[in-house]
Amino acid sequence: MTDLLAPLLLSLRVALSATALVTLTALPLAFVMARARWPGRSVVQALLTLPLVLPPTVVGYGLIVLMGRRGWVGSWLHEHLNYSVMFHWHGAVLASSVVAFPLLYLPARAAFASVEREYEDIARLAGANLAQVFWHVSLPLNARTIAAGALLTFCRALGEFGATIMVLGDLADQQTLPLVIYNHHASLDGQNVVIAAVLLLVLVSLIVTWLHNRLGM
Amino acid sequence: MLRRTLLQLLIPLLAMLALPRVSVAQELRVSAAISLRESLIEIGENYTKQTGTKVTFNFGSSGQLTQQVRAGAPVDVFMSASPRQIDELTAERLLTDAPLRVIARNALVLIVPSDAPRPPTTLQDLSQPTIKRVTIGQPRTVPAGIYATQVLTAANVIEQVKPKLVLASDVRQALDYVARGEVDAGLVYVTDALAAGDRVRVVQHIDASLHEPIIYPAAIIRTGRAERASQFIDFLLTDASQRILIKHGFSPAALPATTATARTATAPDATVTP
Repeated sequence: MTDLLAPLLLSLRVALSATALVTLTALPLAFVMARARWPGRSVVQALLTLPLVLPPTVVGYGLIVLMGRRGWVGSWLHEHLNYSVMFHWHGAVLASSVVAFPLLYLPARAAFASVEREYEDIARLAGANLAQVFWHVSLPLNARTIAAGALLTFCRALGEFGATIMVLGDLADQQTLPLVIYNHHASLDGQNVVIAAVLLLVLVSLIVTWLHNRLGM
Repeated sequence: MLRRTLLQLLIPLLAMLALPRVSVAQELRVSAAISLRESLIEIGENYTKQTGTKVTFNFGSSGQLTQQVRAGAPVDVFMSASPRQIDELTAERLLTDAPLRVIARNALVLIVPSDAPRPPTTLQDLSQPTIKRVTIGQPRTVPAGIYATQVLTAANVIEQVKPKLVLASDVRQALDYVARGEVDAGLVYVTDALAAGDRVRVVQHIDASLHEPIIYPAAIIRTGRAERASQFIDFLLTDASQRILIKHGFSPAALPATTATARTATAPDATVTP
């Protein structure tokens, strides 16, 4: 079991960071997209939903092309900052964030769109700017939906495998729980580790989905 | 209206499920170590041309493939990159009693990205601090990873290299990491390096004495179609097929065998018992 402590902690660290990253990006985007009336918004909308339906390996491949040492962005980072997300836990955060993004973005956008416009208009009339409307009106009105979306995001990030393995790779001292399961499932002496890791992952996910249900979702 | 459309869609779908599966009259299912990919596809085409039997390949790491066989995957022939997996399956009585036949041999090379400015040139160089990442196959499931670990151990650099290791889920992923320049060096089969063309550069051919002999045994799965499977293995050992394997960088099955149980040094159907 002690062998699983480091993978568990890494998985939790990645999932928590990914949830934070998704919250910071998905909420403002959802707020803007819920009010967007410009042409082409459906294309942007489709792009933001894409990670939900694409195989994670496609997301992983896209990240390698973009962020790899020879990627469009990655080559610049590697050259100028000597930094690369490849084989780095930041890469796992990025991968699980992209995959989990729609799980917060979609409910948040629907929630923002369903807010009675009067509330926001009153706030605007009272002199609030758009950011203040977001922070003081739209966000509190939809707190439960957003919390539920964030919990789902956390669960999805915790279990992310396909995109993560492509970016994080498989390093002896840097394995997430799903990666440990994958590595051990095909070897005869690894079955105990697989069972323990699966139980651990199910347990953590159960707790989070239970919280999710408590929110009335 | 919507309900009717849904029903109209559902009924044919359900009907399709109820139909018995149409089995292909002449088919052979082959699970093989991914390093054999190009060679086997070429040989498979020849085989289909000559016999009319369609060959379906499933490539992966030998460990993954073994697990699939264990889980009851429909496979007739299994070719692994090491006798280890075959031994496991034999112990679990998942193979027929037909003697195993070696169909090819391989060797390891140290490769670097082709545009690396100051690449390592020997195994010893891998312990240099300038070398940040080295890739090998995941030894749990990838035979190339086991051979590579043996090499690094024999070269006495395993302790220094271990923290730099990126483990690939099959040997082709290791190759890809090097080709993309994500890692500084990797240990793969000479056949992989050939398949990658000028995207990678071979800096050292690994002395075969540093690892167990790399042999590819072919086994017949008990639940598979044994006769057809055996014919396909015969075909792999014909001169024409062996020439294709050699073209892709393999050593022929009939090399002077290092395995004590090989029948003769030159017989085309050199056998090993598990």
